[in-house]
Amino acid sequence: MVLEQFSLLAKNWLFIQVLVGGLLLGGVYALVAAGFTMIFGVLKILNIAHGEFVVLGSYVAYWVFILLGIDPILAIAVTLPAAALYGFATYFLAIESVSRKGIEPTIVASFGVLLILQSSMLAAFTGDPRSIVTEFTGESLVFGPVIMPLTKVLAFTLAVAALLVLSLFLNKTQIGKALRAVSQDAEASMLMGIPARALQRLGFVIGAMLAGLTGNVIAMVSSFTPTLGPEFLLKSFVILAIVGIGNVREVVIGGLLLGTVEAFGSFFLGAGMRNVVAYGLLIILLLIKPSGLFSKAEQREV
Amino acid sequence: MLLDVRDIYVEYQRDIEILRGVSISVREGYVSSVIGPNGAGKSTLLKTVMGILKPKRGSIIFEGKKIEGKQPNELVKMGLTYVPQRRSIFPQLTVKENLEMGAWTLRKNEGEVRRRMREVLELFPSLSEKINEKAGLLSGGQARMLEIARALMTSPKLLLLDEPSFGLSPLMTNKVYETITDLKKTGITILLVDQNLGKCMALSDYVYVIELGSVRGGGKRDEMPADVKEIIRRWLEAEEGREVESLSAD
Ligand SMILES: Nc1ncnc2c1ncn2[C@@H]1O[C@H](COP(=O)(O)OP(=O)(O)O)[C@@H](O)[C@H]1O
Ligand SMILES: [Mg+2]
Repeated sequence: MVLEQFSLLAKNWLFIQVLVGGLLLGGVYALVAAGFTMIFGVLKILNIAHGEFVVLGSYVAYWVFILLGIDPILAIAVTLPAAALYGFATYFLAIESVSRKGIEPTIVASFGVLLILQSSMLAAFTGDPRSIVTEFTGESLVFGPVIMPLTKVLAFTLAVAALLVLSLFLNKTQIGKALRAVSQDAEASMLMGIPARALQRLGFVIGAMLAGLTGNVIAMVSSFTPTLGPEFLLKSFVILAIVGIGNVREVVIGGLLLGTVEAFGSFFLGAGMRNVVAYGLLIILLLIKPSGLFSKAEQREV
Repeated sequence: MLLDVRDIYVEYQRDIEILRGVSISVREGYVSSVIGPNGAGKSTLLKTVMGILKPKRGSIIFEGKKIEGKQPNELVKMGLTYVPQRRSIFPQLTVKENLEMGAWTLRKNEGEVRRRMREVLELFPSLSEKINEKAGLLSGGQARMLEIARALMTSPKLLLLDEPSFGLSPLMTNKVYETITDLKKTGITILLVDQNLGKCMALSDYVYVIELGSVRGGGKRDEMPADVKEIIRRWLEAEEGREVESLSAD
């Protein structure tokens, strides 16, 4: 059966079709991982509730569309401030006080946030899958034999644009450079007069905004439920395992790689196996990287 | 006095006092140093002055203001700066960006930042050549130079230097000390901690001897009490012995 699929791949340009599908998805994965690594970079905490930040972003876009009839692309103007708000609230209420005590308490605290956000969303929005259907939803771009759903192309474009802006911000502005300084050595940054704590708060909020934007973009391409969060956390972990806490460019490479591996994995094993493929990849990476997931954290950055 | 540390007690863990009633004074325009064996509490003292640690008791007075309990970034604004013993460059930023971070408090005034950077680089010609390189690629000695240069970018009134020659080759140690000697000539006030007693003593105007978290004595280098002089003489002898040993081992 696998052989049949190989021959299918060879014929009909299917190889390129699967590859393109994987890359389009990979751009969105890179966006979610960029937020996750931003938070890990500046605070050295694992935000276990990162996936819930994503799903909340999907619901914001959804309700803005349903209640106000605003297109999900324009809804970003609402999603970003909303994400900044729930990111800030989470940091203020659950993370900041425990973050000085080391990494373990923040894992527990953010796991608590995961449960609270997930159950609140279930209570408020039910577990029914939601999706946004606009006039573009069924449209596709056709390049010869390769067909690309328009929403996925839009989602990819938005993700790449956001990552570009992020990269420019981190590399060209003084505040962005200071954020990188804080993530490389928070104590040393304070010795420069940099208000490291304020920048850590800012980094957390930016991470949440990237997650919210990812959610907004996800809502354009697929249906979602309140329990989808951990899936995005898993993707972030895998990308982190591939590239470490690298710069934005490396996160993008990791995202595209994961998207591609998943696309071919689910092509051969069936779509239901997508997350199994991602998880398998994570296990393999953990086994062949003897130094562990976050060993490079000290030298690397956001 | 520019800085007065008055009877401070510091602990990392509850009831394990690392500093036990330490008092020292730093006079403006001079180099003061704190010497003592490994683990005596020298780094702990500097970290406490810089606000990285909080004293349990006692007070720290800088330019007449109490500063204990203030955050390091606030103290930088007041004119203190600290070069830690450990490596503390931002490895993923370039040399220039590292220096810009040192100018964080001046960042609104681009002209001033540029002027300051020119001034500082004059003291560190070796850094000018690497200005656009990632700081993580510098050698140990160059990295130490960058740390000192970056600290000077904050326009400090008081520079705290913790073991500037730590982990450096004898050649690099000499270079670092040449630089500190140049700095001294600019009139900046320095509080220095170093294992290299000979060099440290030669540079210092005031010396404090610290052992097991307490100051054994100190004062003007050339007017030390006899018992303190005796302690230093023994340490210096031991240090020369070590140097002779390491020479014969080669
Ligand atoms: N982070 C820490 N936690 C607990 N104890 C520490 C810590 N840092 C230093 N100490 C202890 O404090 C004492 C003084 O250390 P330190 O100030 O670094 O000495 P010095 O700089 O004079 O070599 C040592 O006994 C050391 O073990
Ligand atoms: Mg020390």
